[in-house]
Amino acid sequence: MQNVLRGHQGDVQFTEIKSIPTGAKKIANKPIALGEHSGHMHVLTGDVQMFEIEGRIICAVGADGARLQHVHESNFSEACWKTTNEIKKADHNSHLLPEGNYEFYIQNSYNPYSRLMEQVID
Amino acid sequence: MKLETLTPAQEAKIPEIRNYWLNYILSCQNRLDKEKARKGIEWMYNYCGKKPPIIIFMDSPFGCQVAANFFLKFFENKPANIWANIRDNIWANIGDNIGDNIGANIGANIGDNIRDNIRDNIWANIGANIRDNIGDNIGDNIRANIGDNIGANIWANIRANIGDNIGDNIRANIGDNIWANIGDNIRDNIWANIWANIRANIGDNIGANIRANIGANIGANIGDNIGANIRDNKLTHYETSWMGCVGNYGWVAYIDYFLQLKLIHSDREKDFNAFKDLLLSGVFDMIQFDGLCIVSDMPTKIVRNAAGRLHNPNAPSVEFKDGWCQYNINGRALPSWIWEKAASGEISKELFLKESNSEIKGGIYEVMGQKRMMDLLGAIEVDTRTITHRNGDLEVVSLLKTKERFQEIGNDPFAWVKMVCPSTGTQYLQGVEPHHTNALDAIASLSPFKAEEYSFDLRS
Repeated sequence: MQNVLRGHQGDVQFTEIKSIPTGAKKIANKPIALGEHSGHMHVLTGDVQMFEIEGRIICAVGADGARLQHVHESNFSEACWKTTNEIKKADHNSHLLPEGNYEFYIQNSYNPYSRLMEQVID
Repeated sequence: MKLETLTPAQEAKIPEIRNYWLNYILSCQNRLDKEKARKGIEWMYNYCGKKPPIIIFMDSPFGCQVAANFFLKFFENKPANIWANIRDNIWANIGDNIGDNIGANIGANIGDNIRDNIRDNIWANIGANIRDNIGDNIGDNIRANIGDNIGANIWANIRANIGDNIGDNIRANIGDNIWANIGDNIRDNIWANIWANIRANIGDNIGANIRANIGANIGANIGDNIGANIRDNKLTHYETSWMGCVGNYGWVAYIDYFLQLKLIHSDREKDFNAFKDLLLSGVFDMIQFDGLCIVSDMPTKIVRNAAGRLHNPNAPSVEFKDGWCQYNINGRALPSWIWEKAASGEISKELFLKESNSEIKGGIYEVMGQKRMMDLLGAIEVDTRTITHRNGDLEVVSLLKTKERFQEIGNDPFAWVKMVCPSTGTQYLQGVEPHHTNALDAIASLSPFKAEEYSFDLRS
């Protein structure tokens, strides 16, 4: 896809995709990434449905849009899921995503000892 | 006829039961309920044809090993009056039947005996019942999602890891003075606590009589004497339980699913529930001797990585109430000095280069973090690129490498890419493969995007 929307919020990157992959399973919305020690999380709130297939994170954003936010878990409640209202940010500014399908990725880091790419979770 | 399909409500119970058992330990919210545990252990010993044991409750698996050494090793070949005095008072207070059973000394480790009894009479029996009544597809589904999942999470990643580490720790110290090996921290923070725990438990078990006798006879000296004696002795590692520990959560949760949903009926259900109640009394593990059972409380803290392995670059990954803790990186148990020296700034380039153990070097790399490792090893900038993002932002990225090459990582240099967070201005370093020569290629290699696509509309 040419000129697809691509974004980057801290360790989380995303790109617009044409459609939800065949076989992707609808799942209850959850944080895209959770920090192991910081209590920070990247979360997509608003008009959005999450899907999973083979470990991939896929989101369908509806006509009302969705907001990618980086927040501390203590500032987040169940009520936050359904709104694009901004929650107090942890480190990274939020992004309003228009209607469309998106795939999210977590940035890697190379571990020279395991010789593997490992996901970065701050 | 076998059950071949599950209703949506029955399917919904799969994650519910799995998460209940996982959270029972991983939440670190459950503590040992001594009365419930005592009832369960007495039931288990009775079930296996053994008389009720003396039960000693400790705060950690390491505390259990020290307590086992205290009871079994310290009194071995020591003046008879000490052991005889304690033993006689224990027997007098908890009944002749146990005294008769134990005889002159605490009996053998009966973990295998208990394992065989529980396995053959409960696990195998109900397991066969499930196979008879439940279709293979459902059985496999539940086993994969509950039994194996929990087994992998708890047995492989936590219980076995902790058990192995304690075993290694103790085995490594055999032949040496344990006091010197375990160090001042153990002596000051753990031994004092464990000794207080032993005293508290002797008090609980044998009451005021033994306190008066032991206290009056031996008095305050006993602490010093025992300390001095253990200091001069070797610590033995005693095998922990097969049945009656968090490692059983997998198969118990698997059976629990079928019984809770009444998908099978078993004449062993009462026995199963008694065993399940024992696990849900907050027992982490135990050492099972004929006549003596030493029980560990749950951890107070568990930190894991996304793969479920014990992992914490900043602090212990597992902690117990008495202060005993374990340090792990990606599931590997590593010595605490890495964290202590990293915190106090004592890790030097010389120390890093001199270290011959590559696992320890990998641990140092993780605990120090990329920035400090780069500073420590003296990396130099080998390439810099400016990326023009689609929203007009300019981002400068640099590729850095060490001058030296390191044998343990394939005779390559360490390499990092440096980037700047547009929200906070903070510089970040991420490790990259050492073959890169171009900073843009290097940063793109950390994402799903090719170098020519590495340009964003939204950045923060």
